Amino acid sequence: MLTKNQEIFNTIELASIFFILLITIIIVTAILYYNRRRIHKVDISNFQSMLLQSRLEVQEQTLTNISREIHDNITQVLSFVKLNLAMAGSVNESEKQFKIDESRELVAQTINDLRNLSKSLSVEHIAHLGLVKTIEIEVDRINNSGLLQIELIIEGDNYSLGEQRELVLFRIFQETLNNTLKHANARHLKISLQYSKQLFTLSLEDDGKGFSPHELSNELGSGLKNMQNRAALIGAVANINSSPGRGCRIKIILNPLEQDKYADGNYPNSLG
Amino acid sequence: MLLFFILLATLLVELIAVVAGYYKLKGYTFVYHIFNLIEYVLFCLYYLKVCQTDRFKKLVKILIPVYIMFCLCISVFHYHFDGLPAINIDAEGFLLFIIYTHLLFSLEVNEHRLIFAHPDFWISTGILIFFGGVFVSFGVYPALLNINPTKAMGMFEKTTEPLNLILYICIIISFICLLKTKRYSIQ
Repeated sequence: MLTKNQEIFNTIELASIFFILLITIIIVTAILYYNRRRIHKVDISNFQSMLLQSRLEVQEQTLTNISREIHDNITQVLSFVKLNLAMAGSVNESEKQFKIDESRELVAQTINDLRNLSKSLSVEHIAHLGLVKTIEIEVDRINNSGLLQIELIIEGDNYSLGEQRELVLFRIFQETLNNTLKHANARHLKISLQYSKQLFTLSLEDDGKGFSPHELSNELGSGLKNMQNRAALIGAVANINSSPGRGCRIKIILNPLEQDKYADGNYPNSLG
Repeated sequence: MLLFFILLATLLVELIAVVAGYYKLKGYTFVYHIFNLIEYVLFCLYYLKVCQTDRFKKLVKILIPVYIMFCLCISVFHYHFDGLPAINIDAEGFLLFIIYTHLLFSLEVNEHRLIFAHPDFWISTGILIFFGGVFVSFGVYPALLNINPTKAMGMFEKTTEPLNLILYICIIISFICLLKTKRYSIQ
């Protein structure tokens, strides 16, 4: 009888221990689950702040380009037109007509330039025109300026990668272009956009002086690091290859099939 | 505020139990019948206040009067407001276990805050440990009293004392976390 009673008490104690173990498992699972959600939230937060930063940087770069364009091109042309018209009063009839015609052509060209410039006034045009068209506009602008000769190659049928990812890719492109103009002393830049079902590749290759990755200045080094971080946040890989005297090649590889996790509700296509 | 009331009610009941135990008074156990109801309602109100998901809230709201009716029936017709209301406590534990497991898995995530700084984590943990721990012993306590009262009492004390302590510590930590959160949040 005593042994049977003891057995009952032992069973109850064992059952209590089992319940406590079960509770421990529930609590540990809840902690792990919370941490997973927290890390996910941090990722989303980083992604959104990076996106906002990219948006601001694109805007800043666009304004710098516009300001340079107005100063270097439009102001010069209009000054020439003003001079032409001022001189028209003191020349004979045939020369006067020539100067008026020339001025009219220059004003038409300026209007055209201003029209093109207004297209790049807003970051929103990336959403409306898409990555390819926006890069084409930028390439035309640089080619017209004569600062650099850019060759643009588009392979495959282009498809949308989503507004946010295209904005980030455009910012990487803009940053690379800026670096090429500022530091590379390059004459040619080859830009290639390859669209296939499995892969999207954006590569930028210049014939500049190149650099050794170990001897980079802080500004350029952190710029390239930043580029790689940005690419990682949209699920892409950025490969940067360069050596002194051999130019620089930047390749951004994106798997559209792996984009699902970035394209779902966790990484929405609009900031709002 | 709710946490404060829970702590106050618990403190009052424990004080009555200690005083009654010291003076060897009998018949004070009816307090547990009342406290049990108050405790369940307060914990449910706390859940309703803090839980972000509405799916479960309606059920919890319905369960409050259902539980009160159930407990009153058991207390009046089965226990006659005498002795420890083991069935009531087990029913309370079972319901709170489910409700607070849900709360534990639906805690509002804050990227700047670890789970250990979350008041609801501590309160859920305390409830899960306490009610999960006493579930078996409370369920069989009346039967054990008939088999071996001394051993039953001994086991009961061995189980409930540390679990009570854990529950109160968790509630106090939760209270501190809540105060800290309020201090650093924008009002």
